[in-house]
Amino acid sequence: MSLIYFDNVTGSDFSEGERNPIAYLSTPPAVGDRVSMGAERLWQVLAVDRYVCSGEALYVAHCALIPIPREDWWTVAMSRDRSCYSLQLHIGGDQLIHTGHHMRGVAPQVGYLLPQFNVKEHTVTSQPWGVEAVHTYHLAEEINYPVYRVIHVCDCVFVPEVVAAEKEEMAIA
Amino acid sequence: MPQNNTFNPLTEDREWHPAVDVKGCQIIESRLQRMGLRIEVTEVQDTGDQVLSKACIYEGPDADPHANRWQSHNETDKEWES
Repeated sequence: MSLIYFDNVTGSDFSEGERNPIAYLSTPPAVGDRVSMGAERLWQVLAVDRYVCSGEALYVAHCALIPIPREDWWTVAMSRDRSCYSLQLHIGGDQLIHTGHHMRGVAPQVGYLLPQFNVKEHTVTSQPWGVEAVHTYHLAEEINYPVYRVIHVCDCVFVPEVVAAEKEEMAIA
Repeated sequence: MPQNNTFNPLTEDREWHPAVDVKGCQIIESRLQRMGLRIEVTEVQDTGDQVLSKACIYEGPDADPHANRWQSHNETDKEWES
């Protein structure tokens, strides 16, 4: 079984309930397949890119509501404008718990908690998930108009006691 | 056990803004640069919020974690009244 990440090539246009999902499949999706991104409408797979790390493969299925030439994807333009546009997938118990993008390809650090940006308060705290290991995937072959130069897949562990301890420290201080 | 020193409010020097999606982070970047700020988006993280689902993180000489870039009309009206 390989990890498949379904990516929206427009960078926007999500409706309520939609997001970039992952799946574990024995064979990757094919170009032309139709998939749901969390709501009823179906997205079309425009291309599938293969990434490898220590012999293991990971696939990114690039999706849109209507066919768009690869050179016109917004994600391709982002990659072209940045030194190393990368994707971070944080996996906890086979579930995708958090995603990130880094414009310079910097990997998440092992031993740190995931950030939580609180929109209403405009503050940054920590999620009860810590990064235990990072696996870096690279494109299996050179392609024209790449999107992600590297993909960091992070194994995460649930540690609510660390966040509780942080809150106690903040209350005491 | 994971540490909790990823984000230290005392040493954080990056500027954070929420956005609807990753494309919104790029739009905000362009807006900040048009304001004359030497700043660029370097990282985007999930927020878990249904509407503003992305946290855009900006770095550069003019990045300010305490900046109040956009005021509401209520605040500007109060300035006029005083």
